[in-house]
Amino acid sequence: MRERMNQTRLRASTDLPEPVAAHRHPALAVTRLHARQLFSYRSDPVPGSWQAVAPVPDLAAAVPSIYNGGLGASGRSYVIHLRRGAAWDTASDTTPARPVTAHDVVRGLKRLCTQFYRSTALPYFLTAVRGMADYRDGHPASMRTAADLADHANTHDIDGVFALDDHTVVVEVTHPAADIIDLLALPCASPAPVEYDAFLPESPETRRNLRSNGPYRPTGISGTGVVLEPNPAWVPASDPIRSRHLDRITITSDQADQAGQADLDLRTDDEPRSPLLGLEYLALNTRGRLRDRAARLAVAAATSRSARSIIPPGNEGHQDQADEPVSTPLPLPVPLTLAHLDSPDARTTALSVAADLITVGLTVHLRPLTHAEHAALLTDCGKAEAGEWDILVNTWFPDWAHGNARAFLLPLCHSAHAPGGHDDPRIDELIDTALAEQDTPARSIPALQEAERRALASAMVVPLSYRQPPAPSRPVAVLSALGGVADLSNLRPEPGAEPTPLPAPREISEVSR
Amino acid sequence: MDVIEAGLRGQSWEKVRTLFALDPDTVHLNTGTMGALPHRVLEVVDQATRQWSGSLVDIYPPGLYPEHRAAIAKAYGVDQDEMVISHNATEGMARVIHGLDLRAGDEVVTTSHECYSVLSNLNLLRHRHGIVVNTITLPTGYDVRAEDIVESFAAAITPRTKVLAFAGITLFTGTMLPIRALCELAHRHGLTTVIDGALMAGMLDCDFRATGADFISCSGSKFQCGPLGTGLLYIRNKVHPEHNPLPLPEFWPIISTWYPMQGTPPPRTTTSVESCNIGDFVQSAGSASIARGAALAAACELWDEIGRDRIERRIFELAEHARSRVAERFGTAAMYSPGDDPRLRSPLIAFHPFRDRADAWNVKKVAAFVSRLETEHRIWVRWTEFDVPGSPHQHYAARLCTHIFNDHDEIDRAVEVMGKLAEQLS
Repeated sequence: MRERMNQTRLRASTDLPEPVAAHRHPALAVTRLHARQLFSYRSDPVPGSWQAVAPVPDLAAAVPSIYNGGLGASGRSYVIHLRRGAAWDTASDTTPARPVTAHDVVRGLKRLCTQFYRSTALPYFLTAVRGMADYRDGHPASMRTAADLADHANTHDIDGVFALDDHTVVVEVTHPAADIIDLLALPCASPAPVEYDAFLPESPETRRNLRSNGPYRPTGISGTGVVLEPNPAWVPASDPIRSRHLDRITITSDQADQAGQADLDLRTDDEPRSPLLGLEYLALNTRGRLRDRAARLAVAAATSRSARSIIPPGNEGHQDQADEPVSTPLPLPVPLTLAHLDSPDARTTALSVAADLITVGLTVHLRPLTHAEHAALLTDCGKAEAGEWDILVNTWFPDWAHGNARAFLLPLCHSAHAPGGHDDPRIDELIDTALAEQDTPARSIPALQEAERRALASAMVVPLSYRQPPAPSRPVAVLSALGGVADLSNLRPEPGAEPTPLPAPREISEVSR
Repeated sequence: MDVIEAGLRGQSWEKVRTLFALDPDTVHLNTGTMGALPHRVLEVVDQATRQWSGSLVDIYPPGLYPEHRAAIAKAYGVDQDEMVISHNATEGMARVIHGLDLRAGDEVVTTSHECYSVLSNLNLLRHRHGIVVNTITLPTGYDVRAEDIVESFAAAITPRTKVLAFAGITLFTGTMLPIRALCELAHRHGLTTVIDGALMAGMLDCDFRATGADFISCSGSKFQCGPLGTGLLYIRNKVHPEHNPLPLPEFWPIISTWYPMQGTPPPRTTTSVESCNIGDFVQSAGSASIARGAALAAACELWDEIGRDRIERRIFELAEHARSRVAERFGTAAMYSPGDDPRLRSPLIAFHPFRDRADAWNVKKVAAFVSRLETEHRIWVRWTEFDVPGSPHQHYAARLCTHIFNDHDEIDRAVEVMGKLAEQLS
């Protein structure tokens, strides 16, 4: 008798990115099925509990601490030992699985720094990891090919990231930053196998040649979907936080699932199961037609919105903000380009904002964007300089749970990272001070809060609404510390049969005294 | 053994060595982590445990260790009311740090070379009360001078500074800080001095009062060779201007059974006569391990019999021997511990064993070095980690310690083995 195949069908996005591009990608939850990180989180039945927000070792053998010799008194040097048994799928029946090494960790972080793909999460790393900004800036502008990139990576180092051998990597931070463990839990910081050296980051070639070290591997990628099947190189004993109960996972697009056959829709909002709110907001281009603060304030005043703060409730540093003064007249009727992701939610928001602005006499051109185009606007200040947009709709979710005030202010408000920039140098000074004082919340949080007040006063960012992370339609566990994404690794074929999340892994470092 | 112990002061070191429960196949060069227990101490632990198990007598008065504290205090030049038998140096430091009357904005100057337990308790105060911890990184290397260290502390003092907190001897690089000079610096600025003396007790023939410190917290299980879970805490409880002219600092004996349940203790004295037994306040914390206290007292008694001055000389003579051997084998440039300035030398010697300096931040290699010494050669040392001024990396070193149960031959053999092993690993 033929055994029944356990399979499930997810509705998400058709493309499966290289992990370096997984930040904010609709398929982020899927990425965790085939790409493991140094650290990750447990899906806990009680969102917000310490079990749900505390990072746990994934590829790492332990979370570095003073107790296992992984962290010294200065709080600036993290020694991370890899657990044994994690391996790359070589996509070959004849080549045995190859262990994940510390060099793959270094390669993954280097791949995060190239001009070929700029992750929206990069600001976190640039301001935390020693030498990462210099490494990013050291790429020659003339670089064009994957071979050039690989050659550069093999001859240049991130000063604060180095492999001691195949099993141990050191990550040095510029100042005590306990959230470095959370940063290394982001899927965009996943280790990268040597095969990726043959391809540019997040290129079509890489996406067709993804290598897996997680429980599943992509076996079929087409225009209508992605098929994931069990990865033979994955050993359950080597993975303390994921499990595998399915023989096949099919991920379909909206178009391919018109009949609504998906078992789980990753793109719909259901009952919120993460206590951490995100922010839907407008970034205003301070380098273009809205360079005049009065014009930006008028846009802010004309826009219907329910949020007043940049740091949403539930996140560290949230403060209630007073309503702005009543609407001031726009200085002049200028045509504005309002860019937004071409998704149902973002489109609705864009139309609403446009209606508000048209009401006060503005001319607004809507510019829908693909995910890649949207990400490019968020990470390339040059596009703002070039006047490609005036108003950008975006939603930002907290990327970790504990001590996460900077997860909003740094990427949204620092002129080095905010897509529309700003004209108040004091905002940058305050954020820089907060980062340097991260280990002293009594000083860092007030600095971030003052930066937030100034950013709101300059109307570089206009909060629209506080948003729950998209939650799947089926009651699966979510990773509340990772922006509330679904934990698909515990999916079972029968709806509702998801097991209780795995108990906390308890590992010890191989270096102990 | 009774024959040997009768008149220990005159006994040879070879015979003194037989007092310790040592594994004859092991070279114990890690007293900085834990000393070797004397047979007599082991016997006291056993006897006292049996004596007090199921006894019908009141267990609380002996838990204050009045006689033991008096005897130990005398050995350190202080009085019973100034001496506490604690559970370990960490507990002592924690009770001092949290007992100080520090408020938001007050500053503590300390170093990044302190034991984690010191830094974690200061960090707790930082978050709880808003104090400022001003952490300096001590210079390292063979040619460090005492003046360099005093100057780095002096430069860190501000008008808001209230406390200097530092190790008498740092566990990472084995630097003997210029204790008296730092205390005098503190006196000039009206500061309280808190010394982590984890490595001092049992090593130094030391007059605590003469150091000028306000608090010294020691381990009982390292150089003093008492059982694990024992420590000594000195709390200055009277004013001897020739040693420390400052008034006694305000101090709250947190965790105390005998602190008054109504009213307050008398004001702290301003003279050389104590106004209360602050030691009793701190010592009284419910039931105590009478056996461990008695065993620590036995270890201290043994030290007195051998002679604390004699012990210090022996430890340092062996240390100089080890230091010269390490310098010969690895070069003075490889040494993180001071050597040129005799005021900074201690019996803890930390060095970089490998040819490539970049291996100094390779914890795997240093850990493998220490591990192979232990598993292949039965030589027990440890590795340490610390900041080095001007270096972005955390450095790692091999560290050895000498004690009276060591001898020249085993030190020579150990250094020789270390040299060969380092060559292999380099």
